[in-house]
Amino acid sequence: MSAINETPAGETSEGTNLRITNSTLAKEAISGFQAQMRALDQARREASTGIRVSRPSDDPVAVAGVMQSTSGLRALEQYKRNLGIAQSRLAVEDSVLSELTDALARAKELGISQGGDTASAATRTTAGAEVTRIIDFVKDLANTQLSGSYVFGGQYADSAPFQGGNWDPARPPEGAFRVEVGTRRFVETNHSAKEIFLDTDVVDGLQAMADAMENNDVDGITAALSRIDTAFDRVQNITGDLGARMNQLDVAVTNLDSLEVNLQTFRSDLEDADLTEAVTRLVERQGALEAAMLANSKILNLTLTDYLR
Amino acid sequence: MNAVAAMIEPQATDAVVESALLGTLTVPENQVFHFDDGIVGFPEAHGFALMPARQDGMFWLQSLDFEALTFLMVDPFHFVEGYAVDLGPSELGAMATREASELLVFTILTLPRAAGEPATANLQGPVALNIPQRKGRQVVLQFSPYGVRHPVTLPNAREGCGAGAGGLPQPSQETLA
Repeated sequence: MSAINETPAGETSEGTNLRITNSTLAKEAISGFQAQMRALDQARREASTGIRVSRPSDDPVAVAGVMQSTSGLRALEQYKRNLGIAQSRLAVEDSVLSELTDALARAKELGISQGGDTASAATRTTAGAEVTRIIDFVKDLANTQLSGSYVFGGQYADSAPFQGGNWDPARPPEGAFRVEVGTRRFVETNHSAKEIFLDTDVVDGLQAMADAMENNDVDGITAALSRIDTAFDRVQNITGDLGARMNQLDVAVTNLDSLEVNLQTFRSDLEDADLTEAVTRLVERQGALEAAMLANSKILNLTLTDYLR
Repeated sequence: MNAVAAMIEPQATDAVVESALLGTLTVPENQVFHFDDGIVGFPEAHGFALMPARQDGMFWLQSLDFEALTFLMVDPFHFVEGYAVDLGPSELGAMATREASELLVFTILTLPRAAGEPATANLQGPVALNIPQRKGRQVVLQFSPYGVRHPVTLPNAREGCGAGAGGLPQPSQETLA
């Protein structure tokens, strides 16, 4: 089983992490455990009347129980579709954040070059016009649509976050767009326009930069540059949070896949499929499980903890 | 209740678990784990029973709350050379331990949809178990080179149970004590 060596994982961990890997000790523990289980299996073979479910077709009652779960299976399929929607939205946000990061980097470049002595009123006016175009581009990013829905609209997914260059305080692009992933279970999908473009100071910071450039205001440019730096860092934090959400969804989808295949395998009427064979053999063990586990606890006084001592 | 079970008096502390896949199971309470946050995607599933499957290194994780919720897990260290799980301070806090020796790690297996395809293990979402406190948690690794669908080669089912046909390895003395 897993053996665990206490070593710092990574240089930044300050020794607070645990790294769990394999080791000889653990191999010994699991082989002892497996030997016990085989012995129990033998005892079961000698004493019991036989296996309860060896193939799906062998035990009509057991199969009926599994078949009842097919409505559960349909629900799983719906949840999987919903998770797929959530994944698409996160993929869109991923690409939008990447473009936003590039746009902010360009605005920072302009701020640095126009804040210095080599710039003039004329170059600042030109740069200010470019920053204004960046603002338009950023607002277009905020208005990105997927299948007719505004991805960053938050609770107002049916209207564009920025209309005519402004956002409507009565319909703020905030709140989570949620998809159902279980019975009365919802997950938040992507971040809202308010979180990405407003709370971060992206739009207002860029606007301050454009204004300062057009007014040939060097101090204003320096101040706006500092705001854009901060906004840039906040966008990076959102990107990191997005990555965590994507990982979480990937794991949820994989859990559903795993369940779905388990259930489908048991509904399978492929009599000679290797797969069905392999799985029914795994479950065969469970026919004797209650006996094995009772023997386990009663006779051998064997617990998982014991294996590890 | 089969013959062996009928001969053995159940323990009062045993948990009776209904499973859509595995039938009615009786599980000693020391193999029942509490997942504070459920399994990812199933946050309301808190109780799980851990049971060895027929194959070496494979285990069932059966929800006590939802009988259709049955996961097949493998010991990843048994199947994937070089696999490692790093648990950060927040995960260790959630697992209520700082002792590595108290933890076991498994990964959930997805069986192939068709013959010829490999089974896959979710190495990015390992299930960690705190054995003494019987707490469990599915950990989502943020940085993992392995991903959620790492192909694994399962042992041949016939070989796996073949040990029963020939001479069975006897339980070791120390574990029989």
